[in-house]
Amino acid sequence: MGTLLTRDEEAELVAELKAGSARGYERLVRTFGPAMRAVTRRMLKNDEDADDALQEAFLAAFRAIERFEARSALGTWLHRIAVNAALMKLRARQARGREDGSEELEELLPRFVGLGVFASAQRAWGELPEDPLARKELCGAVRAAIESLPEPYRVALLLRDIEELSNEELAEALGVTVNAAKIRVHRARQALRTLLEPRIAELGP
Amino acid sequence: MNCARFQVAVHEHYRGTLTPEESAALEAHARACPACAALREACEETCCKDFVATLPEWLEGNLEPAEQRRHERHLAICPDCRAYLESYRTAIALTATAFQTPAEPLPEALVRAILARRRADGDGDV
Repeated sequence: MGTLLTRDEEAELVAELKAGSARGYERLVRTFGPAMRAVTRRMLKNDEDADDALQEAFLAAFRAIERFEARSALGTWLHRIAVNAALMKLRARQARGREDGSEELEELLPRFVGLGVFASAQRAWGELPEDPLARKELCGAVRAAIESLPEPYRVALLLRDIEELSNEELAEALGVTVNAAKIRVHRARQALRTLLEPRIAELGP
Repeated sequence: MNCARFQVAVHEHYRGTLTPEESAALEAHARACPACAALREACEETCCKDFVATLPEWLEGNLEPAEQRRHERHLAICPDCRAYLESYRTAIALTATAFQTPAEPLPEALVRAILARRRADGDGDV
């Protein structure tokens, strides 16, 4: 969501915001709101929570705009704020019902035997369909598979592979070590791969 | 047994699914073919489990050069790991595109709610 405005438009908007202009605030919300809402919706699944997080994100941005420096793009800055607002909501949710899900996930990881060879032969996936309808169906299947992952793994995968946080940023966001963050993402990807395998096989060559 | 069959059979051997005759053919091929014997050694120094465990580091280019070479040797002989690597990469690529739907404009009520919260939070409009 980095290139919604030209550099000049962005500089102008930032100046308006720093001056506290109501028009500037509205323009910020209308320009960046849709992409930020897509982030909170991906992360929170529940639309009401997502819109709540979006409001919190904009409040945080309005409060911090004074300190915004043009070193990063406005879109990138707002993206991180939206991610953080969604994470805060997730944490509040987690405090209510603790989910770990590592046992559930274990079953989706590959199995090895003997000296450490795959317990069963692995099949290449080959080319994916280019037909738009089949592609759309596959996207739906991928979203459903991601949403079915145990929560800590779903969140780690989203943050790393969709929101494109670095390993270090991810570790900080999750409050774990960099190594633990990497392992969590790797396990999540492996589980997703297992979940998608039958769908890919259905597509056939 | 030819070299292509050897690559597959060596994995079946480790999985314990070869018949005694096939195991004998495997051994015979390894004795006759130095390339396959070397590949089998490579396979034994990095097993599939090790390869998969360090896959992200490998993809990000963070492995030590020696370990990197061991991985490459393993990949050269292991059809399972080649297939796994390809599907793992595809899963990442699919994840990245799965949510790419055009963002819709915010509902007016939501825009108004956000701006109202700002006014309540800040010092009012300029």
